Amino acid sequence: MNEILACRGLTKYYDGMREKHVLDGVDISIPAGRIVGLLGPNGSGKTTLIKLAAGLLAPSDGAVLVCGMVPGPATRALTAYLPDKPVLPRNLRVRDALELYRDFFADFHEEKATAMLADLSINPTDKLSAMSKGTLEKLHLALTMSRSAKLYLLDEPIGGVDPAARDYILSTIIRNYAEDAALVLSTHLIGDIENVLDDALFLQNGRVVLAGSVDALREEHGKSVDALFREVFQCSANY
Amino acid sequence: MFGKLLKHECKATGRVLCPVYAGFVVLVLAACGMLRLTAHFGTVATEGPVTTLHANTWMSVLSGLLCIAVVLGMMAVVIVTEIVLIVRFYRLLGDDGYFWFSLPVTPAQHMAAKLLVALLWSVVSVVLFIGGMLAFVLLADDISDGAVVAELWDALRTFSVQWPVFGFVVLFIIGVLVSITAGTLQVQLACALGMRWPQSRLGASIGMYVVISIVVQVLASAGTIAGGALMLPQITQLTATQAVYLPLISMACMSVWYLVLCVVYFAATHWLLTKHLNLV
Repeated sequence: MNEILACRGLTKYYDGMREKHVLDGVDISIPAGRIVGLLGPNGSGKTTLIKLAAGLLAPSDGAVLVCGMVPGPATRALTAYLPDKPVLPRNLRVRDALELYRDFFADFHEEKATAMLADLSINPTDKLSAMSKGTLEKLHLALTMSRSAKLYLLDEPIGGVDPAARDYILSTIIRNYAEDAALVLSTHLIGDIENVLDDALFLQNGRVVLAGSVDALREEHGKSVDALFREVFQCSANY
Repeated sequence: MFGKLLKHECKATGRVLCPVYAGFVVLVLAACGMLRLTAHFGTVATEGPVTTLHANTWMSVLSGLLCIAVVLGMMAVVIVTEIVLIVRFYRLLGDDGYFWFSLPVTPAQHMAAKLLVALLWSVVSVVLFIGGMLAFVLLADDISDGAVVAELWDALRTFSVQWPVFGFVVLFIIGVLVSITAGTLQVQLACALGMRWPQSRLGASIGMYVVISIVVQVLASAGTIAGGALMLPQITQLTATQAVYLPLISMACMSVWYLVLCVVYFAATHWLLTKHLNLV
């Protein structure tokens, strides 16, 4: 099994908040060729887990490994990361953003990105500062998915875009990711992405409470993953 | 990869700083041109009646305002440069970091690129500052038919007979470069320490900068007092010719001290960015 992402007892708490673990002893293993949904309510640790894998946070305890390596410059060359908010410098134009990706990522396919941007009606001369949040998210996603990475980490990739664009984005994700790569995405919009997922990981209070292949979960619980999510994470009925 | 990082850092900072510098150069040229015109028409005014005096007054006022603007511009160039460079690093450890730290680049390369570009723009801003002053000196020299530069040259020659001017200039340039480097690295360290308090990062970064400054000042003062006390017997026995080298030795010691600070700041920031990166 070609393991792309592995977490061993992964724990994260912030300075001065040792009693509050954002992640608490998470053990997961994601092989190549899988699209994994990271599902959980707000504050369950999804974004923290993705940031740890992207090397933007240091673990408090345990380990996270990408292709067998501790996150660093070497793993960043293999990881395509899409944050949950637009983070490209806002004073750029689209062509400058393409140049950034071309300069820093050897696996970036500019022609693929250009074609995707044309599909999304984003021009190379457009200024990022003049773009809406949804358009920025589309731009980020197009750039991220134009890489031939080993690990794709997509944090809420469809959260800020309109339903019509979601279909294009999801088909883009499936079309562009290779079988030797793994894709991890977090979202609340489970109904929209359920059909593209191979596996689902349910996180609650920093712990994995449910994990398995989407087909097996559906069969075992007799309901869709979306319905299962609502059942597992339902709010108090006494409210 | 480091070269590409430098290229993009230069482009990003240049987008903001180049228009500021260009504006300053235009301002200096305008002020010099206006002063020259004022001086020219001022000589004519001695022969003319009231109307010439009226025009002269307006030109003098405009020249004066432009000169004030240049002086403010000189300060603004240096201050804006430093603010832009500080904000760049501060934002690297905030939202901008999500992109920059996802690149296959080491923290040391990020720091070095930011440092080199900061050094470059700081030197440019200092050159513009000095250039602004020099423009006025040369203009005054031109108006006074070469008297100002001749007087300055004479003063420099007199000074160089008694003091090792070349050594001063070299040590001064080294000292300025090393102190700018230490200052930039101190800001980087303060921002990296401030990152540990994500809920109040700005306040924590400023607080850390103040704390580091106090610690460094205390250490420097203690070192100076101790060094002075240790060397006092030798200093009192120096002849007049030997004593002129004392300022040189002091400047060299200061440069070494800043160099030590640079190493400590760089190592501490690198450790924080490598082992405790927390982009919340």
